[in-house]
Amino acid sequence: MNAEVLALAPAIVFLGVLFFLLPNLTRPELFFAVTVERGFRRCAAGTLIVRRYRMHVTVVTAIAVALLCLAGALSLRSLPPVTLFGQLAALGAAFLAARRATQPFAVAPTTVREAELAAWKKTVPGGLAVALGPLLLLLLAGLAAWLRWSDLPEKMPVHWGFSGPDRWVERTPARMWGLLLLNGSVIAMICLSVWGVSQAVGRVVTTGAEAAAEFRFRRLTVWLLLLVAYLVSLPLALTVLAPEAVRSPAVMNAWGAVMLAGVLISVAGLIWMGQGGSRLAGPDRESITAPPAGDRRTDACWKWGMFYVNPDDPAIFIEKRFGIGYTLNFGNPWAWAAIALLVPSLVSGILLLQ
Amino acid sequence: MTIRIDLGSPVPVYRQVADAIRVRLVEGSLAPGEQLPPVRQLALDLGVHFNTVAEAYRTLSGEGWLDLKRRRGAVVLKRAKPKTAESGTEQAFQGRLRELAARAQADGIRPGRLAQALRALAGELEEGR
Repeated sequence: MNAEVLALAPAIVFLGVLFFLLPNLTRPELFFAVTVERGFRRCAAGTLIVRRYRMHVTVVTAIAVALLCLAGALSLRSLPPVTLFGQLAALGAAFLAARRATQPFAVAPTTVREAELAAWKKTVPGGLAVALGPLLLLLLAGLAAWLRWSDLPEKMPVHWGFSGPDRWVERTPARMWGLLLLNGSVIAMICLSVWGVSQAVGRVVTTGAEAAAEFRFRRLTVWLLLLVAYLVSLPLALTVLAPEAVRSPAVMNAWGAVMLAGVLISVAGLIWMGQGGSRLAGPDRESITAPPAGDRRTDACWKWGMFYVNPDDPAIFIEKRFGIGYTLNFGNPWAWAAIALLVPSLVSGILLLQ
Repeated sequence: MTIRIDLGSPVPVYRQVADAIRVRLVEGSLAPGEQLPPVRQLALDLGVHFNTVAEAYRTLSGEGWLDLKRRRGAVVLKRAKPKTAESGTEQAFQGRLRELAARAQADGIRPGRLAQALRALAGELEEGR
């Protein structure tokens, strides 16, 4: 079995398992991104939709695994990435089909809104200093590179395998700018996401036990993002400040192991909590007679159930309707401003490294 | 301490926000010196435009309830007791109360229950004075 097969097999299986479980992980009044009555997922129509959806997911994932094995057996190098993208597209199609089947049962969410007259609890321990730490580390690396330019090694590693660096670039100003732009863009995106999920998010529930559960979910999301940001900033910082460290397989494998463990544990935690902490929130609300709340946003603002577009909503980030985590409000001009600022930087960084 | 609004109501949202906060101010749940959440935060929680919450805060500031000079949020002021209401003000208020009572009865609330609720509210206001 070649390396691509070994690398992609866990990803394909993980995607299949995640999509299989997702109907149980969303908020109770959201069913394939459609607002429904409480208890709909347990009625005959709801269980039939879920059963058909899960059958599609199982078949798609099985085909993807089979194709991957075929690619490994016949050494077809281009097939594994095609298989992964094909699986994603097919899983997306399964979701859209289930959503179409659910739409006849859609209800309007409640128009009632509640808010606490108190400041939000902090999700970032240490506040702004901690949130901007990865960017500061990168700035420090850039400054150190400028001051110690002639002391830096002639070649800098940009990609690592299990046995150490396996791709290098020459130490030129353009390459260094490329590394700073590339890393800076990725870290800036993550730091903006940290700020957004902390300060510019549309909370679904603002009072009671459900609000406390939602806060825990948001806080874990922020911690995961911060962990990734700090770890992403380390290789470039070490390249400049401690060049020998990045050439050591032990150091970089430890870095990779910490990243992987941290991400897996956090993602497992988020899945366990359910979207927005909905699985932590306490007794099922089926007995309450008030209209369904869903995510308190109208279905019409969710394009294909995946993209939220609402210029009247001040939130920049809101909870995904299908999946775990948050997405942008593409109707908010600030979301596009961030994309317009960061994507060109990312692309410029990649181009400068070629 | 929560406030509640209904985005489907014909009452303008800024007025609903101002009315809900005013209830807390009159009851004494919000004491002088306490800070209200920043405009942005309250707007995000209610799902309304920032200007809507800002207008509600300005309304309450105009009535002497809030100090908006600080950079973050609004601070509750110790409001001077208003003079006795003019007869026109009291008449206009009684007119609105009649309209509200009529709407409540049209929605099926019995006059006895309505009177009971009004008496309980009057008692609370007297105690809070």
